[in-house]
Amino acid sequence: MENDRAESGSFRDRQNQVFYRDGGVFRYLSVQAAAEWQALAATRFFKRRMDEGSLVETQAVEEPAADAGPWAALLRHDTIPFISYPYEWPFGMLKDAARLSLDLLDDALSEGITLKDASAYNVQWSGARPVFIDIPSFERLKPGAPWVGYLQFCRMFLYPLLLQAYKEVPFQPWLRGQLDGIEPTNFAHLMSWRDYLRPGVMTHVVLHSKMQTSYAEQSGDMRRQLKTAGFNRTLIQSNVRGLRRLVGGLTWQAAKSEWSDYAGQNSYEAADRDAKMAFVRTAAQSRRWTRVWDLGCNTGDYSRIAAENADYVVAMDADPLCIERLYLKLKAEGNRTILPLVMNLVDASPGQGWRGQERKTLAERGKPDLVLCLALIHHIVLRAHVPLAELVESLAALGAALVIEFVTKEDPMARRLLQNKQDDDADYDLPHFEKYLSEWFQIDRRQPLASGTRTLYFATPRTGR
Amino acid sequence: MTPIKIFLGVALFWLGSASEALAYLDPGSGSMLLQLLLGGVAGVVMLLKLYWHQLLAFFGIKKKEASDETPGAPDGE
Repeated sequence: MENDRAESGSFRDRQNQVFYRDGGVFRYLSVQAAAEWQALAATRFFKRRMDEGSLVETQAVEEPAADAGPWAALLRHDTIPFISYPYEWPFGMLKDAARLSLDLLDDALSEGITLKDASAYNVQWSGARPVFIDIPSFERLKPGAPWVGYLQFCRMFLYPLLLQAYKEVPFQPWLRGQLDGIEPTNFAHLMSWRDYLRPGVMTHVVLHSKMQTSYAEQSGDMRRQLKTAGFNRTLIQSNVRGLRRLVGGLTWQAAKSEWSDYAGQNSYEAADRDAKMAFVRTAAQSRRWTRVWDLGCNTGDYSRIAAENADYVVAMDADPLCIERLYLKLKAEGNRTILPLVMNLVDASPGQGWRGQERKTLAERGKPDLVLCLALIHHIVLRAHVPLAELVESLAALGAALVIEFVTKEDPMARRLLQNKQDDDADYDLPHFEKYLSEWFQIDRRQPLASGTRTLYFATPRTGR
Repeated sequence: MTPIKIFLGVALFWLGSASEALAYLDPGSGSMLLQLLLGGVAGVVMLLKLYWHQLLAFFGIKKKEASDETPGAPDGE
């Protein structure tokens, strides 16, 4: 149909195609995929998992249109509020996505179904709840077939988690740097003798890497041989359950400790904090918002206020530890409306993959109608050296209303940033900030805080600019 | 990890080293084979059946045959 828009990240699997129509998410299935869908839809676990919300709500639509080409069936999926990628998740989110993938595979195997891949991109989020979205990944298990996704699971889930848990190295830049995840051979090179003794390393990393290299040329033969040898689903389940225990036991040490000293870290005083809460609440209550971006969300307190009057809030911070803590809290609360993401605004997720379109920039995934930018501006201008006017212009480009806090150079936090460096930002002051802001926005409300170094603004985009 | 698994893992590694390989081709055959080792007792038994002749040859119990370059089908017992 004319108004159908194909999803640019959906092309690897030739058996289906995701597209958007009138705000809904649809998926065409080939003859083969349609048969697999029939088999899946008849299982008990499928209905149970969909009811509990860990599988995306999916219905078969009556008939594909006559002009649908080679497609045999059409599915409609519930819309995921905001697409995110594994390189934007903290440790706990990748871990929970891994657990969901393994649990679904285990469930499926018990009913003769398997998952034909194990991509981390198959998991999305509804707030702090993981949702598996790639329905055509389920197919009937062929007799004697191994778990084809095992290697992919290691690359996209297990190695990144081990990297953080065993080596204290953030995995996000690695997953962003290579969309297929970390190669067994490369990861094995990172392991020390001490690591060899840690759970999972000898088998899933060292031996896996060696065997990947040694047996690389015997692919065709190997499947046949496994089948002849009597390979069956109980072997896959044994591996899957072992991985489930391994992943379940992984922890990020830093996230376990240091919890207490975080909330009280802000320099502004309690009085400022209450006033700020009230200001954000009044701004948020001025209307109902579809999508809020909280940039530099820290503990997520303001995301929560915004969520009172918004359908969905994307809470972003460059600090993975901040986001990990926010995620764990939201998860414990069963939150479905706040999505915590690791995101550095001055090094934000790019468009990448095939044609730079497979994985998208933030704005391409859904612009906000309200942006919170609190206690952030001094980091971006004074530390990351983005010119003030440029920052304001980039926020204006989002076309959203804005709650922003200006922090003067006299503020203790700003002073700390400038302590050991030359101050090149002559225009970093309140009059210039208001001038830049007024070029793009209409300032609806303005409130200096009691500390004297911080001012809050609620601004709406000027129409006709 | 049980001692038998470690033993088999090391043996597999040595056997596999016989063939020249380019890792970037990556058809995942090593991953497939490893799944036997990770598949519990039943998997280990299958692995032994698959590689029995080569294991014997490796430990000098049986003379290595030309056809042993790639693992053969299991014994038809």
